Amino acid sequence: MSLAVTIARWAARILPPHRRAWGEAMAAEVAAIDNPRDAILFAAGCLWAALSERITFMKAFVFAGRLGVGLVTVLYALAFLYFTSNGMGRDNPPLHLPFLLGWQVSMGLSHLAAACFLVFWRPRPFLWACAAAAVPALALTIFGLAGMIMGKLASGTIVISFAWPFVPISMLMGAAWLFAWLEQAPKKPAIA
Amino acid sequence: MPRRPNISPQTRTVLATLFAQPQAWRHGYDLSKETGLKSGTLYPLLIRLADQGLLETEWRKPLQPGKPPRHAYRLTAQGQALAAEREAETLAPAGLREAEA
Repeated sequence: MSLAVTIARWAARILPPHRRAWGEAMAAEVAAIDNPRDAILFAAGCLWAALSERITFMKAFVFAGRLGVGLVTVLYALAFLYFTSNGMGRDNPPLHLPFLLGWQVSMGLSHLAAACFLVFWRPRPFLWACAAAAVPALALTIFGLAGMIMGKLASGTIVISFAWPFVPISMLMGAAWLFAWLEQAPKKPAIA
Repeated sequence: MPRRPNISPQTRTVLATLFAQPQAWRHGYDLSKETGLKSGTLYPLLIRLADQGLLETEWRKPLQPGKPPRHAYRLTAQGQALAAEREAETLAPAGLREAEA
């Protein structure tokens, strides 16, 4: 098999499954070209066409977006795991309270899982990871509200002081929804 | 009023080339040579045209025996109508200029 036909066969394999017939068409066309130089140039163009069919601009944009949001979420999750052993800064040494440790670890692990499932886009596990992240967030909110009601926390504390973990979770879910919507949206004009 | 489809110059060239012999089945390599478009540009255009029902595709046996079948293309009636419309648009300004002169 000539180099040109081999390249055309690669192109056929790269094409999305619903375009495989076009890959066969390209390979058959390359096989019919008598001039070896022309055949290689034609096959290289077919490879380029296959790559551009596979990696559309929107797919690349969505992947970059998921990767960016995922990396920020990983940093956020790692910060929680770091806090379990090092505390939250010089003025907040680590408190080895089971509730606090459990809260920090569950926040860290659930966000880490959510980030991974976002980048590799597994919608159902992603939603489960977000739900798992919402549990410690809810626990903090309930803890804060209970403290306010019982008057054991500083007066003037507002609900958002305790409900803040919901803000990054909401942003993460919003970004995931936006990327899923962009991926589903029509990508091509009426005629290219 | 329905929005008119936006057609790139390369698509116009392919439409015009296919419309020159509307009943003839054309191959990718021949179209590439005639239009001057590289296969990397031509095939995505052919795929879009076929998706939109403007291009008919068929595996055809070659004239020379022993050669494998090749994928061939020609415009559908809808594709011919679009090509004719776009050709008329291209010719119209020239016609107007001649009339003014």
